[in-house]
Amino acid sequence: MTTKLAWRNIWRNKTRTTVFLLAAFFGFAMALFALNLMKSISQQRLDDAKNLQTSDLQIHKMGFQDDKDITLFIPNAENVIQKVKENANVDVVAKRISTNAVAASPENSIGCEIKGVEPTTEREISVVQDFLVEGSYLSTDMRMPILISKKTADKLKLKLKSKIIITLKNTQEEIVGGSFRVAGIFATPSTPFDENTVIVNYTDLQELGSISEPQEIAIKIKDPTKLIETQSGIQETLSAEYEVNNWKELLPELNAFDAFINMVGVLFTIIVILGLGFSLMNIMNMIVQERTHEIGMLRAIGQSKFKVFSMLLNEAGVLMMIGAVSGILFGYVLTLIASKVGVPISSGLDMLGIRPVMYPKLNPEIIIMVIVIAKILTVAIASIPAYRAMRIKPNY
Amino acid sequence: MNVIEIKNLRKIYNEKTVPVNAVNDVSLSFKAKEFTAIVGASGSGKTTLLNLIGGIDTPTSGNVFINGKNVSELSENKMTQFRRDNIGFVFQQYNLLPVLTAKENVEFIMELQKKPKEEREKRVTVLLTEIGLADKINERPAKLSGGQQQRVAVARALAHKPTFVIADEPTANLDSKSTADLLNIMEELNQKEGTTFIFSTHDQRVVDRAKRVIVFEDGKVISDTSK
Amino acid sequence: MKQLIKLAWRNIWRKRKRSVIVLVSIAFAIIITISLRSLMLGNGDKMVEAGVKNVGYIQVHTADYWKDKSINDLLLDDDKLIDKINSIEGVTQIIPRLQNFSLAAGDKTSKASLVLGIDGDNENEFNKVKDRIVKGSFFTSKSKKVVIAEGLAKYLKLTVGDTLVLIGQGYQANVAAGKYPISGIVKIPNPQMNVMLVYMPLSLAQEYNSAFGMCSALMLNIKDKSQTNRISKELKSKLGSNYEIMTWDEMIPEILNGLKIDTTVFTLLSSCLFLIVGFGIIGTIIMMALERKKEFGMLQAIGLQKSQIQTVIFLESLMLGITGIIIGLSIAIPFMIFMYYHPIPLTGDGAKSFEAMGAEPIMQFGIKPKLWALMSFIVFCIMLIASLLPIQIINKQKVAEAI
Repeated sequence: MTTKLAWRNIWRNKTRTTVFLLAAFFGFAMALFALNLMKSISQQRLDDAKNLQTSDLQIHKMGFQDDKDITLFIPNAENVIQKVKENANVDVVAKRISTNAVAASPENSIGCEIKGVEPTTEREISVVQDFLVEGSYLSTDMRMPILISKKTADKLKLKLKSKIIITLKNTQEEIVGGSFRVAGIFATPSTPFDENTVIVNYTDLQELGSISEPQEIAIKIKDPTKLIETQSGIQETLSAEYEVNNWKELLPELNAFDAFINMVGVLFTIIVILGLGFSLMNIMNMIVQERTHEIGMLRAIGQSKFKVFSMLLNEAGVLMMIGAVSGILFGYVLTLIASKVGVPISSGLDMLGIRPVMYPKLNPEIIIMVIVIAKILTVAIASIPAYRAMRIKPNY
Repeated sequence: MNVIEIKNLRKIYNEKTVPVNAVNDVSLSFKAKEFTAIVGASGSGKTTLLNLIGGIDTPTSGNVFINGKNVSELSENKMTQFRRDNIGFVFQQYNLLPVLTAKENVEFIMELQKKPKEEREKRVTVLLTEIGLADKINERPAKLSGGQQQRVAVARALAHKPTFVIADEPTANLDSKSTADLLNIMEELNQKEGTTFIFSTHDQRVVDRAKRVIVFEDGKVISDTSK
Repeated sequence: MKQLIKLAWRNIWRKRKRSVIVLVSIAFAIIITISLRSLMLGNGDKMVEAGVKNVGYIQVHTADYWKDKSINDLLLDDDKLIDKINSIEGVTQIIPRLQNFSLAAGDKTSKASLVLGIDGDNENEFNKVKDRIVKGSFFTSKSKKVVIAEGLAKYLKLTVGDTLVLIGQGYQANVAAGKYPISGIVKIPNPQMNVMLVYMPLSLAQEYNSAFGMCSALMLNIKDKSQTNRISKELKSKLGSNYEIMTWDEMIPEILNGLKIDTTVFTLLSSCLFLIVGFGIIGTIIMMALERKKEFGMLQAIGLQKSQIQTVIFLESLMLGITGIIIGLSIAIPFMIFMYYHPIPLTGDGAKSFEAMGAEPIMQFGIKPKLWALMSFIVFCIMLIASLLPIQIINKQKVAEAI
């Protein structure tokens, strides 16, 4: 009944209500679209970094994270892997050798991080093979194959099957070098990854560095929402010698960026709804002024003060919610279209790991946040005129 | 001499659906200095007749001549200008601009006509004294009573010395004291300034004060008597 | 006209509360957008400045050096070239650098590092590199010692007095290798650089890379930043196609690209805000007109032309807009000026992401008159649009029906 009354009341002035609803409609639609886009950008950066670099969880020997010392390998790695596989939420486990090296061609040399991986398990955990632009993944029919990025290939002036010299310090602290052949060239959306990483076979790197055990065990989990539980579950089965980190801990800068985007989102929503709040305030003032007489009459025939207060609050609420819901629906449609068509982001942002075309996904938590903020601000804004209306004396 | 001459005037509303003959083939003339009441029930068409005479509505057929000029042929802009210079208006309500003072309301049209300041000041002082509101010249309408507001409206209508003044139910919202005051002022100014007054009413007290009474019914004149 | 202006101004204040809300919403939009954008632009300037300190305003390389930064694409650091560059007006300083990647090793660990040969005094004059020293001292130009970045020192577990082993590939595939005592440790704001930078006296670097008398880049300092493009153009025509001339904006695209994100976020936010505030204002102006239909009818009856009534409406909208703009600016501008001189220091994650861009972790506001003008102009346009519908309403209005 109160909603019906509010609904009829707001249409007593069609122009005013229409203009307000248009503002709310476009405002909410644009805000929702923008927020989803921003959130998707930050999410995609995180996902790319996670899928390419870290996977969900990583195990290292305590202290390795500080300086990536090649001698800080994981003792009894096979044993650890067995234990990890017992966890119900673990999907894939892969061991990696990871160390710093210099990659050189006759033309040039660069510093890089070299990763020794087992091709079969690595393919299930990392998405590098999806970004191959030339050649193939680490193949067994080539001796000493290596995967490098397009950027590295350009810098070192290398082509497929070119020779590349890797120099590193082995576990005996001697500087050793080995020659690899380019098996594949990749180009991922993440420039930092591309500039820094070369990938070789686990066994080849093991031999070159005289390494017996991996420095890193990467874990992909089945249910990503149980990240923290799985992490602590695995940590419990291992001694304090081992350190288990989740991807959020491994990518602090990206995580900070995500937190920053979330903050911008809340601020953005508040500013937009406050902007709308001014219109609402004006409309509520007009309503109270126009209906002073009517409200006096209602009071005279026995409507309580609080009924008057809630009647006006209801009207404001109905106004805002019609705008919010229709706007959010439209924003949802826009996001849906964009998720198919793609939104071109200004080029050149790949250095920050941002893809040139974004396919935004809809984040349900954004909708909830927008509606909650809209509700709170509506009540806050409409209370003042509603309070004034409450104090109108009964008359007729 | 006839100031206003209307010939076979006709105004039909809703011509295409349900035609209503608001003014049905009316011919009338008004002489200078006349003080005429048009009497009729509401819906008789008297407001439409006044609107046609005042040039704020256009007839379906027939003509209105003012000072011998056929105003029915004027373009909208020319007509507006003609009204400004030749006709004064007093309405039932919403007569005055709420944001202007009594003085500013009265001199408003003269200012539009770009009359010099001294002339305006002189005229405003004369008129406001005449209507007995000399002490309220700087008040805004909201601070004046309904009767006082209508008196200012009369002063405003006369300020630029129009050929005639049209007043549509000027006393409809007034009590009997204010009605009497307003009529006294209108009568007095009619005499002093020699301006023709045409007003509509359905109030017998107002009718009694008129020099000429035209009874209007269903868009037609049924009697026209002069005292 | 004077009469109409007076009428418009008084009409605005007829519904005081309503007009105040409109004014507040305009001021709100102006203050929010200006503050936000000034902060973005202020920080952007700061980051660009930090970036320029690293790369100089202009760099001269041998052709095609920048893309690969190969140790084989070097310049001969001879007087003829220096004289040519010096002859261009506005160039105040020429700073040679020789850079190469090498593997740096301590006792146990090794790491890829960037070995940067610099002319210490010359470099210091431009970017105060010596002020960054946190331990030990900077080398002199003749010394055989190196200065390494704090992160790298920590990683390699080395400190002042220890020996750094460098191994890499020098000029024309010569082996570059050597052991160098560490004379000092510097803190580099950019964390990526902080774990890989090794400073070496230029002559020592030339010896290490077997690149005698050569350098990879000549970094230029100039008198006036706005002259960058002119100087770059003159250099190009004077030096010819054997040299590569790059300006600062070409060399720090990662910073400029970061600023692009800011621009996108700001454009989205401000268009949302202006859209909503704009609709609010438009709604109010329409209401102001609709409520006064009878009044407009009366005005037309007593002889005001439609165009005159429309002028009044237009003036009302304009006056509201201008008053709102004045209020907004008179709050925003002093606030910006105050914040410009009192930047907010940052801590925590925010501070880290600033340091990642190589900038001081403070929230720096900029003073941007162009931005002030742009935001005011947008509000002005909104007010023009707002007055369109009421003007249309009056156009269609018939006097006899209105009164």
